[in-house]
Amino acid sequence: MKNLNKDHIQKIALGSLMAIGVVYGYFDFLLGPLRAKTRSTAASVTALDPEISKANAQMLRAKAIAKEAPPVEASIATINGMIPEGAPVAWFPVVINDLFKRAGFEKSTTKLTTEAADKELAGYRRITWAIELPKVDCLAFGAAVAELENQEPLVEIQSVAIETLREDPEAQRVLLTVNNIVK
Amino acid sequence: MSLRLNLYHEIHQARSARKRDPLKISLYILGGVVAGFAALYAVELGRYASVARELSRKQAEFAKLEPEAAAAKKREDSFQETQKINTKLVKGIEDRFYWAPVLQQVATLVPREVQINKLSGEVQGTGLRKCQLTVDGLSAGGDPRRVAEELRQSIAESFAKTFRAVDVKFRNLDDGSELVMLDGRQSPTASFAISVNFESGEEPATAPAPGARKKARGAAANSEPDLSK
Repeated sequence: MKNLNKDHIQKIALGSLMAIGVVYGYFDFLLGPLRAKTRSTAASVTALDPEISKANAQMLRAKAIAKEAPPVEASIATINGMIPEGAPVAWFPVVINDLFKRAGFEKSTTKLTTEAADKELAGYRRITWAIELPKVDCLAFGAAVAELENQEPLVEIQSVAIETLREDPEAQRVLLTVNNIVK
Repeated sequence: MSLRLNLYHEIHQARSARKRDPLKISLYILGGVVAGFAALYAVELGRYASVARELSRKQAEFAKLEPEAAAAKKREDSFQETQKINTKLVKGIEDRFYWAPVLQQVATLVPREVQINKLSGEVQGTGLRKCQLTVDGLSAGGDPRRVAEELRQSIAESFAKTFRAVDVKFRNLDDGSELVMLDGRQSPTASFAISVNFESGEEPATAPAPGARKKARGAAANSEPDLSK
């Protein structure tokens, strides 16, 4: 220290200032931003991992569904196959008339009473029909009802009214209210 | 001992002074620090490049998976909707209330002393069905009221075997004014109206727990609908 003259001291001070400047510049303008970039990129990688896992899980579920789907689709196709094409008012009364004709009741009247979209069955409607059979034999009518219930799975009888005819105590008049599911 | 004289002492002193130059030494130290910093930067850059490559690889993987996963999600949603509709349709078909067996049951219970004038029935609800049946008729015989009561009891016993919450009661039972021929004899009559209330089917299931829903979904998917009924 004894040998340091004024010139030396000035040079040391200048060197120290330069060193401080270099260190500050290095950390603030070079290493700092690079480390921040690395951290941000690593965070993006970490954020992508669950997304990729989720996508892979979704793909696995899709594969599992592909195995489950055929019986369900076959079942839906079977049910849809039971619903004829066209407006129900064009075919349902014909189906009912034919069925009761086969049972021996020549005359029957089928009228649409209400029609509404089924909230629980998207794409399907529920139609209520009033069916009148002016003259039937009670036992044969029971058999016809059994046939209707067995042959038309989408039809459900909501109410039945069988009344004896005054002019012919052996015969009855029948009023049915039925619900039908259509597309 | 010989005497040695250093005639270059000034040159040597100047050389030593140059060697001890603080600026020079500082520059050496600074150079070393800069080299260290450069090495650290290179390492950090290498680490960044590795992470960036990993990100790029994962982004490419995700970019490939994302549309497939979106399509799979769409298929899953569509399938779940189809499955829900299928389950409801099949359940609706299987849980229908069948009137033919009820009519048959009533027909077999009516004795020859009774004439049914009117039979009406109605079913309400889904799942658990509340059913109401009204039987209006005329009974005849020595004690027409007893005949009507026997019919009421036989309906109650028969329906109790098949349905739940069976309640059979007379809405009215009155002596008839007319006489009818039964077994070649004039017999008094009674007009009656029997009301039959009963329940059929099952209570609709309450919303299942999330775990139970998964199990039910699997079970529903595996079950083949029975449409042969």
